Amino acid sequence: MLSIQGLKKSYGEVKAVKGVDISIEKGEIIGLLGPNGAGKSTTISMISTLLKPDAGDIFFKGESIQKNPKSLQRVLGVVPQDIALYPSLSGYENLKFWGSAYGLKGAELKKRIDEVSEIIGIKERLKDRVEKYSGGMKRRINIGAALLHQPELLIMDEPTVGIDPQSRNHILETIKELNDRGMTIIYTSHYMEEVEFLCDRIYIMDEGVVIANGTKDELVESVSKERKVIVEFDEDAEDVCHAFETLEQVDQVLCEKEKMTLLTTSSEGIMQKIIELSAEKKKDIISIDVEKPNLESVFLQLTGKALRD
Amino acid sequence: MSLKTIILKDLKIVLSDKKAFIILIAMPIILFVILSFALQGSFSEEDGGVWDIDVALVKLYDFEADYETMSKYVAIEDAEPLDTMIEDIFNDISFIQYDIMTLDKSKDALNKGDIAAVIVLPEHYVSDLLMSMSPTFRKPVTIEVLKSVDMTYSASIVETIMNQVSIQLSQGMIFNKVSQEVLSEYDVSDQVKQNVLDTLQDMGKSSTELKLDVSDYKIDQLKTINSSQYYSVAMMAMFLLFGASYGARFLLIERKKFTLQRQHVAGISPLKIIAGKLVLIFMIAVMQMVIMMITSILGFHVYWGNPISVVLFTILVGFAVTGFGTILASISMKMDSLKALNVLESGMFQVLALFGGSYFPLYLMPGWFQTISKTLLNGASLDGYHKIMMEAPIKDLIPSITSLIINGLGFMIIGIIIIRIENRSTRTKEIEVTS
Repeated sequence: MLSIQGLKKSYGEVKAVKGVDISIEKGEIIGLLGPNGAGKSTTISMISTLLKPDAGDIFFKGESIQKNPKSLQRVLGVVPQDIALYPSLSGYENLKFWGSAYGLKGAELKKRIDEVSEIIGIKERLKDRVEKYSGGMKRRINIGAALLHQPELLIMDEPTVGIDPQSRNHILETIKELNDRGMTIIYTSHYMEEVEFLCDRIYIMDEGVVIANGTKDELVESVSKERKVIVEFDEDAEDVCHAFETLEQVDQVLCEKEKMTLLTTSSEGIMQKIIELSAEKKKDIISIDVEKPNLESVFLQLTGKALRD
Repeated sequence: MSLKTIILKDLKIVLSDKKAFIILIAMPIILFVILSFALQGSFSEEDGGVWDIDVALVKLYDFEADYETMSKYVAIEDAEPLDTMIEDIFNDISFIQYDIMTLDKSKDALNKGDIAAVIVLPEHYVSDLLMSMSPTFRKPVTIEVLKSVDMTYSASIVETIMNQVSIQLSQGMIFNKVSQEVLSEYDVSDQVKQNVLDTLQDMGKSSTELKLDVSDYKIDQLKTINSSQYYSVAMMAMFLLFGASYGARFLLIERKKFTLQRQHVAGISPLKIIAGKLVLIFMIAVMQMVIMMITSILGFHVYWGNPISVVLFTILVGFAVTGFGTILASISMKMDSLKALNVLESGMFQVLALFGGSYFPLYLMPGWFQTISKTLLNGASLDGYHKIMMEAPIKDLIPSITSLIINGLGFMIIGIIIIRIENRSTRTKEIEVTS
């Protein structure tokens, strides 16, 4: 559906995007992850026709959007990170304006406002001024404004920033629902759990390039198969630490007073062995926890930066 | 999306902004009411009347007796012009009507509000003047101007004229004395000195001949304007600047709130967006003017002149304000800050208002001041509306019309060019920051 090839963009001396290739199939939710300054917003701005690339091209259904931006603009919805609405107008007036911006009018516009306000759950408050809405409601109507023309491709730039968990859940459910109806979505977020929950495939960007992409499992696998088993004893266990190093699957053991961390690539049957060895060494276990690598650790390993840096 | 939708949306935002309503609509009306009441006596209060300032001339001297004391040195034909000098000056100024009165009678007239000022020529006025004009003697002459407290501005005009008389007379006296002192340095016969002095005095007389550059309001044969008329236009012209500034904010606010970019993404052309903002500024300006007109007509019976002229001129002023708003919008976009507009409002607008005649009536100001005023958007608007109120012929309106067209077109073209350049470059800047 959307193919981004060799996209480059510089601001003077600063090379913001240094050659990005992304491919998006119809009906997918693509996650775009990267620390600040990675080039995500510049890439999104180029996809949304707000910026012209210095090199490369974006093809929508095989057609270059540089040559014909209208072909994408008609079917593209953009949910900016900012609440891009008119606070002194009512929710209804805002939706009406943005619907008109995409060429909707008359009965069709009214019908779509009805449907969208139902989807985003603000039907009861449509007559109120947006400035009176809560943060979560503002976010929802910000999304609604991008849905009126039933876009085929929806770009969402951190749509859940600064809102309460209840509104966030509502928004995430809405996105899932839209995707189930066949909408293709490009999603950026600083919240790893949102990306894990929503996205079919994830592109990780850093310093203007895509450094990894794939499904969540593929990304995790590509980085490490290592698991962490964290055991907590009721007393200092440093004296028995070396005994656990002899276990077959264990690669490394780290002890710190009552807490022991075992690194292993195969956790099969290891719990049983840890319990038996602890009993043998007369150490009482309080808890055992197995930690798999997640997207956060993948991101950290690939970029050397935490996502919220 | 149609331009109408964009404009309607912006208009709704404007109409829901109570603070803007107070600043743009209520404030000029309040100030107009206060100033037109406060300065009522300074203007002719009758519509259709002819502008004039009534003054009394009091001669405390006796010309015959004065001349008698100086007759040995001065010929009667040299003394007589001094006696009639002030009358001759007033005769040349179309809007000043004078009567020669006694001091008591003139004070009565002043107290009753029949006249704006009394000019008191002191005892021995002619002989003292003649003495001061001679190269060797000096006798101070003080002309007193008693001003009406009710007709402040009319009285100020008289005072200004008398100041100019005094300055020119002093220059003549200084000329004579300096000539004498310079000649005394040379070793020549008295006959030669006298010949040179006579020649210089003749030259001096012609060069210091009293020609007063009075700030004439060119109101001969025209209807006068009263304080309500003056200040309805003056306040409106000043607050049009604020209206332009208010409209100019919209583009930057839209960019800051990302609604501008969102419209770009929706495929709305940048030109259409800019056009929407220009129409908005125009509509704000017209709205301000119409509300002021309606209020002043209904509340104060202000006569605005021929309705067709008023409508056409209002459209022209609206256009010029739109141009001004465009340049303000471009400045705020360029500086990427609304602070720039705040600074302009609290600084430059006050200067423009002063030069535009919003604080003090322009006819009180010197010629250069009035010339500057006519080149300014608000000054030209004020001048034009006042001419329409006076039912001046169309040729009298041409300077204001020309100034407004140049203001509007010039500012608009420059503003649009800057906005278009800025639109491209700052879209990039914005993204660079958030990237």
